[in-house]
Amino acid sequence: MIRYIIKRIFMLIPVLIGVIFIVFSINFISPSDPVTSIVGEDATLEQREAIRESLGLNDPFLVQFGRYLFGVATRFDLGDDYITGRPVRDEVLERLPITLTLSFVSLAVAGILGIVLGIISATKQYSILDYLSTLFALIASSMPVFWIGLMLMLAFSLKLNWFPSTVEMGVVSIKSWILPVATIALNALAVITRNTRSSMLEVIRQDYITTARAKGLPESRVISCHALKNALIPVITVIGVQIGRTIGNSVVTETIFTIPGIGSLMVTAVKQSNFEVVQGCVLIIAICFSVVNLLVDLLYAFLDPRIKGQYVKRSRPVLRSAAKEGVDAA
Amino acid sequence: MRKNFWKSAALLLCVATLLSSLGGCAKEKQPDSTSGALPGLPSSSQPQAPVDAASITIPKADKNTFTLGTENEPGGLDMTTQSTMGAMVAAKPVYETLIKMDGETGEFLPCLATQWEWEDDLTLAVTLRDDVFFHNGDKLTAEDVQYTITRLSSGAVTASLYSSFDGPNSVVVDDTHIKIKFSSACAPAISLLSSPGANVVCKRWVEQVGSNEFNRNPCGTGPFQFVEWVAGDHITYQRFDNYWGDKPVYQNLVLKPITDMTARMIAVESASVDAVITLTPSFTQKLLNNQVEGVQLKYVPGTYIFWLAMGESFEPFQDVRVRKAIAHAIDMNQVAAASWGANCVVMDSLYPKPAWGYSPTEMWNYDPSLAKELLAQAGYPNGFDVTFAVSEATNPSNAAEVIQAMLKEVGINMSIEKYTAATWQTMTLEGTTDFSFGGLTISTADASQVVSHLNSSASQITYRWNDPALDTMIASGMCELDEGKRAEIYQEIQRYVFENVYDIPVLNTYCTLACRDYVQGLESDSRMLLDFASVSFLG
Repeated sequence: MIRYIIKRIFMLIPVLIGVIFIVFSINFISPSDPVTSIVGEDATLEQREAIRESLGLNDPFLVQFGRYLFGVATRFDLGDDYITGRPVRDEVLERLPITLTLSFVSLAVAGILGIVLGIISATKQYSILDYLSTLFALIASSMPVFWIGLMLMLAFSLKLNWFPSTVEMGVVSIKSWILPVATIALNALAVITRNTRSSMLEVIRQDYITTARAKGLPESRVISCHALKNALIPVITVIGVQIGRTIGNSVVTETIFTIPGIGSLMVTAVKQSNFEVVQGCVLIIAICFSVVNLLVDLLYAFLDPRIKGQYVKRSRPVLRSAAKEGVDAA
Repeated sequence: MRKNFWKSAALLLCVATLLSSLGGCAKEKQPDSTSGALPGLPSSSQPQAPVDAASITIPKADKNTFTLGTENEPGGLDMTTQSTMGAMVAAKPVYETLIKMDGETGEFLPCLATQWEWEDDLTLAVTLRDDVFFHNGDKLTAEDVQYTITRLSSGAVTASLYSSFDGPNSVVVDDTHIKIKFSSACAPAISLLSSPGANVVCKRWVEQVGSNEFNRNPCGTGPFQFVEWVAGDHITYQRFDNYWGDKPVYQNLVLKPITDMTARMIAVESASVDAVITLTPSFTQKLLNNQVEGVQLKYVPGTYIFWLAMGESFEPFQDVRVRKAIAHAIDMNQVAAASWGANCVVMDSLYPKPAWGYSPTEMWNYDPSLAKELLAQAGYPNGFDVTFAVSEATNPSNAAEVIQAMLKEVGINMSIEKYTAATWQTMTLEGTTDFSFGGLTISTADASQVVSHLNSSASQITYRWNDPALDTMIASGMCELDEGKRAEIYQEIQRYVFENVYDIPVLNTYCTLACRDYVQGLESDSRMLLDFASVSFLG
């Protein structure tokens, strides 16, 4: 298992290099000039050229790419923000916890509620509860995230005045986080509910579930101890995929609710052609995504012993048979 | 039966969804020359009816804090390196200039300087106040002013505007007297000294913390001192108790960037913030119609101008008849209505109304048949094809679509290409687009800044024209210190530019802000520089 984890970590490296290369290339061929955002429109050609030269923007593509890659590999130096002059690493790492908190809290809410709703929906198939949850899933997954956010803001902030429309940073302001979390969670909740429902329906039709019921076990125990664990495996895959979506949706949500996360930083950076910041954000998100994928894969092993067995060393059966031969010889 | 019912319901839902998506398709914008006047803001700001404290809808909880929702977060607070409106608004509480401009009359008034006088064409003698302190406790002296002037000529943003200011050779007479030197005659010098770029900084502070840190940790003489900047969330200031002027009645000022337009309007409606700037046209219209409870509208004519630029390198545009045809082919009222709507006014001069040099004149009338005639005379009876580059922002995009429809009527096939603002700016700088809009905030409120982009050596290739006569007039306008003669020069420039149709001014926006009913005294000048110190709360 440890070897598998180390192997996966090393496999991250070519993935991240690929991501950096793609983003770097897109920024390089973009017709936009970041110097415009730095000096404005009134600067003379000489001033612009001087700034381009100081930022190394006149160097060939491979030189710029190599320099950037070397900085990332040796010092985790993601360059400097063209506008503020601050290191991109500091800016991104300042905001990363906010985005991750928002994404994971939203996913946790969506996951818990989605699994519960999916189980209820599956166990009470064709009931009014099942139809309502199906309808809800259809509507919630069809609505774009920015629309959900604005509608929630209009309803709960403007009309009902229950929650503030902008987020206040700080532990005491949990109330201001409810709308952004709900915005991201609704979309993911719909998907998780549907998948849990279909997965549970498949599992509860298996023979061993019938056997468990025949043995006289209470239905709650049948579902929680026998059915749920097997039904969760595909749901975990879905939740893993949703992590990427929630991080993506946080870009829009952070802009609407004025949350100082990576998403809003990236949107501003794209508008300003602040390439260093865009590259840094994409790289950090790629790292987070890859790590989360690894954790999801490891979670499979925890849930399903059949998958865990694949990670066990192949030499163990050889040792056992060698020991048996030794005993026989003796 | 139950299954059939739900199947039917699902089918009905799908059909409804399909029909609603078809209804959402935008119609091609057609010009309508019969609609008449814009239902926009009155031409001059009207005094607000006094608010009765008993009628306040949502009372102010914390009367010691004023929160303003801004359009975007500044990149920094050092105005020699920042040019965005976000930066100007965020720097205003902390800094002051030697001279300030009256928001209503445009008159230049003393601020940190008590008086100023031209000794000769290249020397401006300035007398400073003797009772001003920086937020770090240092007293303001002439040396700080000299240091400020010197920084201007090397700042990334200010270097070209303040190129004739000669800081190193300026003479510090004593602590309260300085003779500012110029390398060449600079007629808009007083305007430039009243602009945000000329915010007076503390020499010792800047040298102590360095330029990078100074950009995030300012120190000025303003009524508020900087406290903290949480990136992406807010900037907080605190009342400066040693301020030389009238101190604010409240303690804390918070600027909160809310980039999403709709979210910003909701924030002030729901009282999450006390005021917001840069309103959407629809929200302005709702406020004008008194449809928003508890929110008041404030506006002044601004200095942001928007014009149609035709690149000299594009062959059809080299003929003045083609340029005139385009001017006559467009109904500017329709363009304004489709874009900034209630937040703007069609221009009747090359210069915006609040700027020095404003001179209303007769503009080109909307006459498509005359436009066709001119095109035929120029050798384009069937029109021509042209590509229009525009920023993807809503207002310029909408304006472009209206212009496209109008030019099609006279035979000009204009295809629109949308880009991010930064890319579009680069294209106009490099001249890779021949037909585009130009947009500029005249931060100096002076006519010289309006015509600077027409100069043959201007940085933006799409906007400039190779006309030695025009260059000579622009140069003489910069050097002529006599106000009357200078005004004549800029009127002549306007006449010449319009005769040759080098520029087609479109509209001039208002500086709009919305504040809660309990907010009193919040006013803006034509550059969206807010007087935070005058704010108080009712109730």
